[in-house]
Amino acid sequence: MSMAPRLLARIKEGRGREASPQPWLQTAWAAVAALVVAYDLKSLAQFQELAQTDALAVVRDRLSLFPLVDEAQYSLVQAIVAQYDNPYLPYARTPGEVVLSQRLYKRQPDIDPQLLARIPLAALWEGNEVMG
Amino acid sequence: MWQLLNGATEVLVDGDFLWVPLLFDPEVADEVDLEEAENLSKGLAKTPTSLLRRHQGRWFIRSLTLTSLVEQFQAVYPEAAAQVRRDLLQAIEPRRRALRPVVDATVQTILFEVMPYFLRTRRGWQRQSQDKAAILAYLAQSGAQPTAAAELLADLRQQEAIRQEILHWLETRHVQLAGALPPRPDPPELAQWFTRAVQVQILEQEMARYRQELAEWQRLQTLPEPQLLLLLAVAQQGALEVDGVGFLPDPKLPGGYLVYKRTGDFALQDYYGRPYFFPDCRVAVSTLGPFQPVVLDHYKHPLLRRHAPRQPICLTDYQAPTTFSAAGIIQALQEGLNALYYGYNARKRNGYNSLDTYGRDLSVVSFADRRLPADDPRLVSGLLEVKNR
Repeated sequence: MSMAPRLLARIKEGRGREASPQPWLQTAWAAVAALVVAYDLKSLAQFQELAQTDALAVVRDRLSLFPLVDEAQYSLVQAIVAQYDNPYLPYARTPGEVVLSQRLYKRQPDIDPQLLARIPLAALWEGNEVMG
Repeated sequence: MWQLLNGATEVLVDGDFLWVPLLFDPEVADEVDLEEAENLSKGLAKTPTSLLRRHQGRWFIRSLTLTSLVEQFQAVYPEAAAQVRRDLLQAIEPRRRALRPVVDATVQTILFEVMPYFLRTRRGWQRQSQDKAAILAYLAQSGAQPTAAAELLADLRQQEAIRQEILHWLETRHVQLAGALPPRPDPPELAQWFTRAVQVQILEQEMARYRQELAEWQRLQTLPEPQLLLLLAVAQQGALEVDGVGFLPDPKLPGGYLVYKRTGDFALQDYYGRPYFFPDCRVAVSTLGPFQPVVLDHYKHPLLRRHAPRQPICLTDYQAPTTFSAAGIIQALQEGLNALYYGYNARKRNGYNSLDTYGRDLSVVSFADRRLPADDPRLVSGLLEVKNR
């Protein structure tokens, strides 16, 4: 008799956990593709040039969350992701931050994901420099 | 979808379908790889149902058909379509303005849907299995006559001639445009082709409309004379009454009509069983709303606030419909009639006013002058029915 309510509670708890919404995380591919679409990039060289001049630039408005690109841009996105792949890449919001994310990860690989989501990578990098 | 047609994006046209460049993300890329592998395994035989195809080294995906784009354009962009229509029909606009239907759609609804509902019980005439011709024949028994039938007929004939002219103009234009329209366009001329196709579609719609109107006119001419005269009278006066059911133009709302049903004489009794006489009145509903039943005549009744014309009837639990329909008008009229006949409860003395005075009486209308002796011959013979007995 005493088992039944506990069992019921456990089942409910399990189902509640299953049904609870999971936080959505953007993929590295989507983050880079959104930049490629926003800046209308054509080549890797163009991207790198932009990354140097644009390292701390203001984030473009309305970066697409679910970008779709044509075939030429798809291979460009693949190339960028392949070159700069690191766990911080999904949080990059400007071309400069794509390059920066790799360097930041090499220096400090254990930053809290919530911090990454809240604070721009460029600011984290600057703050690190000050602290370092 | 329509923005594709302005030539900024490269599209393929194959048969009726538009094929647009495929956009990629990793999942789409996986799908494309699968498709490619399947094609390879089948020996490069392209499946006809496939949504994807390769053209000059690029992937394209099947999208909508040109036919559907043309068909839906008017529904999706009504303003743009109206502009195309205006430009196209500019030449015949003055002539179009001179035209008007013999009886408009509202009157047709009233004549053929609302009035038959209330006429059903008279003279064994059944509403079921009656078509428009039979209804018209029955209504024509009222003997409504227009004041200048010959002039009205001449005017209608003139309108028919104008319709013929317009139809001829439309047909010529249609032949010109449709003849120059290739069945399937090349991508560079897509926008031009599309505009042409919409124009041709509009012309076809207009032609169908005028053909229907002419057919309607032909049918009118074959009607027996009383029926034609009835329609002419309705067109001229905007009013008709048959067997206590009728309509008239709404004096307050131009373009609207008041559909009414007469109550006939009836009687109600008060708390002490004394009968009161209620003369005939017209319960009406406006076709332009609000669809709330009113009493047209100068009238007093426990469920009316004062002794005045055009008073709304006090109703509980009645949700007035928001749009004009035959069913809505019928329901509103029935609600109003039922309230006048059976809505007053002598024991509860409900409504704005009560028939008999008692205690602290708040009635602003007195019904003392309406009281009948209990042995009134009309009551005794059954001519006058006490409705709330």
